[in-house]
Amino acid sequence: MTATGRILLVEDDRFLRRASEASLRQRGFEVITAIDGEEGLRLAREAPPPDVILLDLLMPKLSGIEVLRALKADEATTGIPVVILSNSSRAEDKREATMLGAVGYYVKANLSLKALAAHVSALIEEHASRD
Amino acid sequence: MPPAIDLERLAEFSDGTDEGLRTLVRIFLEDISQMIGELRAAVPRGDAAEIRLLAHRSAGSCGACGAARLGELLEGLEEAGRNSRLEKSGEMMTAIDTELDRVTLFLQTYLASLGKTE
Repeated sequence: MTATGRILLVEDDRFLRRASEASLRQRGFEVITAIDGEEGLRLAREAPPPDVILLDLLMPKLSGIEVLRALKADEATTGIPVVILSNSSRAEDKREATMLGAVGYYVKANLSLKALAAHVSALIEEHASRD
Repeated sequence: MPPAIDLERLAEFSDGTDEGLRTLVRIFLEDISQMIGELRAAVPRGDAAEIRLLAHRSAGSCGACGAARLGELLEGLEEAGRNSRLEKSGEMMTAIDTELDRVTLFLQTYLASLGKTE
């Protein structure tokens, strides 16, 4: 099945960025990537906006939490679903991201690219059905 | 000593296809050696924040791919960077390099067992 949708992947870990990008592209998604929080925030604000943002937490320049706060404070980006990809399994990190508006939180050591792609598809379908 | 890679975890991480698994292993082999190479170069500079970030990044990749022991060693160096306790960073780096060799050999053998890649 070929999926459609524009995904912004903000991840400074080269391997996870490439692996996730390859998997999502193989399913038909358009993927744009950023290697730090600052670039991620800039790309999120560019047109056309992404349908979903996949966001790492610990990154150079701007952390994922800072990016998430900025996205949710901006009328132009507040409606874009954000899914967190993190090394941290600490409940407080997940809680903070959820409180700030993240709709998903994956710990990298438990991540499945198949499940991630399915989650992205579901978010895009949900978003489309609301429009 | 446990295997260098938990193959169940690697399969779980992959997208569920043989081609996806081969691609994943190839990308991991390319990138983990490069990322750890950057870390190796950073250790003598003694910049704790840089070492923490590079070790954190590499540990995330290892966790995702089932390289548990290598991930633990990298997390140890990440912790040393977080606490600015780098006295043993050289020894830690040596252990990381040794484990990286084990991971690389394991995955090269595994990749060959999956058949011709391209």
